Amino acid sequence: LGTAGKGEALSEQWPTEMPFASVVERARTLDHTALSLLYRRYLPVVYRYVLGRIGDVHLAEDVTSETFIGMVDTIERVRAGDELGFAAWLLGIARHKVAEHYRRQAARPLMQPPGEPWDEPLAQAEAGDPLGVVTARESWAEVVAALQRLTEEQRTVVLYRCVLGYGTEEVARLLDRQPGAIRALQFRALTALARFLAVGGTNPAVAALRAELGGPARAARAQRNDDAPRR
Amino acid sequence: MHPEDRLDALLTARRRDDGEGRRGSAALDAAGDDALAPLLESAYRLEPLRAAQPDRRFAQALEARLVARATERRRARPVTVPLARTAQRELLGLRLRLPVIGRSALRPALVAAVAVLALGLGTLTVAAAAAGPGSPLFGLHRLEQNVQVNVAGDSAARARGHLQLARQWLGAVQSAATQRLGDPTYSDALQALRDEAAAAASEIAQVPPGAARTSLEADLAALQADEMTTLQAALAPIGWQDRVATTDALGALGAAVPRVSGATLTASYYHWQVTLTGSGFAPGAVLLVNGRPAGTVTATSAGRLTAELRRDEHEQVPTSLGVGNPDGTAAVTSNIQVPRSIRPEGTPESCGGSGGTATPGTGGGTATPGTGGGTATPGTGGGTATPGRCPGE
Repeated sequence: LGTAGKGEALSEQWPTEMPFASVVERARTLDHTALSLLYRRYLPVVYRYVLGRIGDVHLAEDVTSETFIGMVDTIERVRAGDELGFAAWLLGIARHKVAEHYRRQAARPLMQPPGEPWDEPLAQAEAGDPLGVVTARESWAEVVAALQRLTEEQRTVVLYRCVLGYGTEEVARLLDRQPGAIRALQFRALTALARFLAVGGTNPAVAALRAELGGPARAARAQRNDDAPRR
Repeated sequence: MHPEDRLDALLTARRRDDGEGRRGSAALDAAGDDALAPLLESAYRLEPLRAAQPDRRFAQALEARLVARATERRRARPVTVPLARTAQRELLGLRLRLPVIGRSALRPALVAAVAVLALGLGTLTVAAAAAGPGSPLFGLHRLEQNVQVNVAGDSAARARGHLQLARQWLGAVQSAATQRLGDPTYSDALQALRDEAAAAASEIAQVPPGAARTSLEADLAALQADEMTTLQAALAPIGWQDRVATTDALGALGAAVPRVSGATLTASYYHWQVTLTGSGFAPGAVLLVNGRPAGTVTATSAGRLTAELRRDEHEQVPTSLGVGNPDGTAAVTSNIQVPRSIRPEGTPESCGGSGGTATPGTGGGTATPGTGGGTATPGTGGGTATPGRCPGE
């Protein structure tokens, strides 16, 4: 795993000889090559955004799929002439699909079986270290839970800025806001996130697994964490 | 500086550090700033997400779904021809004059219907004349071109017409390849080029021996030489499906290209063992599964390629298997022999050709055994086709 700024967030470099606007124009006629180019370019961007919003790899794949299917279904109407405009349009679809996902989830009982470790993107990286995996899962679950407690605007700004790697001016264009407003939102969002992460609880399933792997001392610590009051 | 601006500057610096492979300078900047340090730390805790990558198999499967969805939508989309501006003006004028022309209530409606039909056909013809490869009206455009060439008086004139059109489509093939415009733009242009070159050759054969025929034969040879060069250069930037069609065209021109005559699949616990037979397989060739490189080639000779495919990645029997040579040429077959032991009940031993039946209509249909079964092009009299099915379909 490496770090990824805006340019690095893209799995495939855009062929310089191909003007973006002409590829979008071809994609609007449902040309396969143009659609594939756009898909490969924006898959990591959409996937990271959705994963940050949902936190579960499998559900994130489902919502990412719905986003790109939505892209094909509505691309004839897109008016974006540059990469940022297209990203704004596509991330708008992703935001809508994430909201739909949460509406669906709210309409049915909780499906997460108790005791099942949460899916997160770190397990693969630390697969050789069971305790490391537990720690990473715990940390990841806390981050996702904290993100969920932000307002929609705050969450979007933090994800666009800190995960997708867009600059402040770019986020302002993506959300049709002033850069100053984005900086203020970002400050409030990270202040809230810091507060939530500092007092965040521990997933009971992870605490149990940690206790099982870490012996009595760790178990006692995990128990203390579980007993701590939560807000 | 406001704390919002300082935080933004520190985050930007951190991003720049990451981009330049440096670590920690932004954190050091914030070290003395107790108020901002927790905010930066919370931002850093999102970092694992910045490197999250979707699963490769998920990504490939989703891309295939998108392409299928696009094809489905393209088929379902009605062909709409916008009325030319002049036609719109005329239609508007007609509507304005209708009360003057008509004596009965029916007559204006009838006149309008005839006028709209005439305008519609005229507009369609105008639109078709401008339709390029990949356009829904491209078939109409080609029909129009053929009519224009075939009204010429003799074979020599028709041959010249076809040669001229072939040159035009050769340019379109080159342009589509350079711009990486795949199916249908590239494939339409390539098909038009091949049709015009074949028509030119056919007409030249009808021209009596003499100076005119010699000159036309020289033009055709020059066209074919340019075609060979252009198609070989086009192989690199185009997709595998277009490479297969291009390789077929190169083979027809006499170039050395791979050909696949058959494929056999056997199953072990973890893998499919794939054996391709044919000719022209080059060292370093890759296996193509359903039109995409996949699997691991274990041995290659000029007439035989063996490879392994992971069964967890390819649960279904592929509908096509093929070979892609390092020079970009590619060939596929749907004639896949599947041993009885791993075939689902009722599946034919060979997934190619024999799985389908076709009954051409009286107008002269053609039947071509194709992907995963037979395909049929019924004639004008009406034919029926029953495609065969493979387990992977």
